[in-house]
Amino acid sequence: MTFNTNATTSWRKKWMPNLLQEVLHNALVAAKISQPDYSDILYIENPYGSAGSVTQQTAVGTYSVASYTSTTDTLTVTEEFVWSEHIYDLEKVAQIADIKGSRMKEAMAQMATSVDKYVVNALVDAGTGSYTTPAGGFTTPANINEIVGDLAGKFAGYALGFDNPYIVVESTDVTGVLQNQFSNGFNMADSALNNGLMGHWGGFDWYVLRTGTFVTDNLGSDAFTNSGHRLAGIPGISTFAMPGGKMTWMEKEVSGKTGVELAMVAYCGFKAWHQKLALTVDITLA
Amino acid sequence: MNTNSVINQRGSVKTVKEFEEILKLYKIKNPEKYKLKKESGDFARFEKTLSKGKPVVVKEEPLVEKTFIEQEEPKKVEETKETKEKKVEKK
Repeated sequence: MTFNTNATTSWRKKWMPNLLQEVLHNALVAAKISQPDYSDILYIENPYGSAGSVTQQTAVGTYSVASYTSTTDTLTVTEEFVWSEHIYDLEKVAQIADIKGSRMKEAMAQMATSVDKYVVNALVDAGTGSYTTPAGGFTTPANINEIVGDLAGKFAGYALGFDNPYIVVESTDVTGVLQNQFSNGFNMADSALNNGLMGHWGGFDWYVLRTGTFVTDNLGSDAFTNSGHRLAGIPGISTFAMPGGKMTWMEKEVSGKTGVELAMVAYCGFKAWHQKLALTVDITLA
Repeated sequence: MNTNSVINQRGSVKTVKEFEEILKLYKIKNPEKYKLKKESGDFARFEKTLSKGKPVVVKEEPLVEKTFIEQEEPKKVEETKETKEKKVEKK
């Protein structure tokens, strides 16, 4: 049994959720493109009203009245992310390193990767905007200008100015994007040649996730069919909730084993809000 | 920091059977998009990449070095009369 009188343990337990939040905030692509909510809540209600319309007619002085209706739209925290590992005492003793600290970092990295994967896939699936790339997708350098131009049109012409659209690609797409950045413009091409992939290019913020992030698979309670798809959109029009108070770091001494069992659990819910679903574009690679 | 965590990701389903299971669930979850993807040939395109047999198990080696327990000293083969003779024969 682990007592909180042990200063080292209690400090680690106390700071683990804080450290994790910091890591998630910095490492997550999800936190850049979706609105994170770390408050201790299970539901977020966001009802929306029916869209009004204007009738243009020959001046007669009469009109017909439409009824206003409202629809509930709710985010529910449904997903549980668990990381666990047992460190045998002999591992801890024989290595001149802070094994627990090292595993904490690994746990945080895995948690960030898993949450990213879930949120990005959920966002692709929810988006009602759609676009099919020219043959070869992002890996063909000559396609990139066309893709960027086409996608920009998806967010243009609204009364509200939707700034800083983003594109999320996988690491295997970088070759085409980068080659195109090298060969377009003068100072922009020079900048890409000096520094590598430019995070902001063509008016879009570019985010790269590892290959295998967009999946056709079950993730938690959800089924996704996103293999061969990528994502573009306007940031902050969806929410992922990760109740900070329910994120728990556990260190347990267990019966029958030397050493300590480590476990971390976090909860997550995601919702792309109805009114702006068209501003999230599901890109199909041709 | 994202090292093994990324490498160890499962990725997409690997067999037609698994894919069919996903499609059943997906049809219930998102019927509109299911219809769109089916009509556009998205599902058929993905299905072509799949194995028709058992799940394909891809063995992925972690990037980290082996721990001290797993590391083994290279076995030293002591030269006996027999091995010496074999060497001579090979020459």
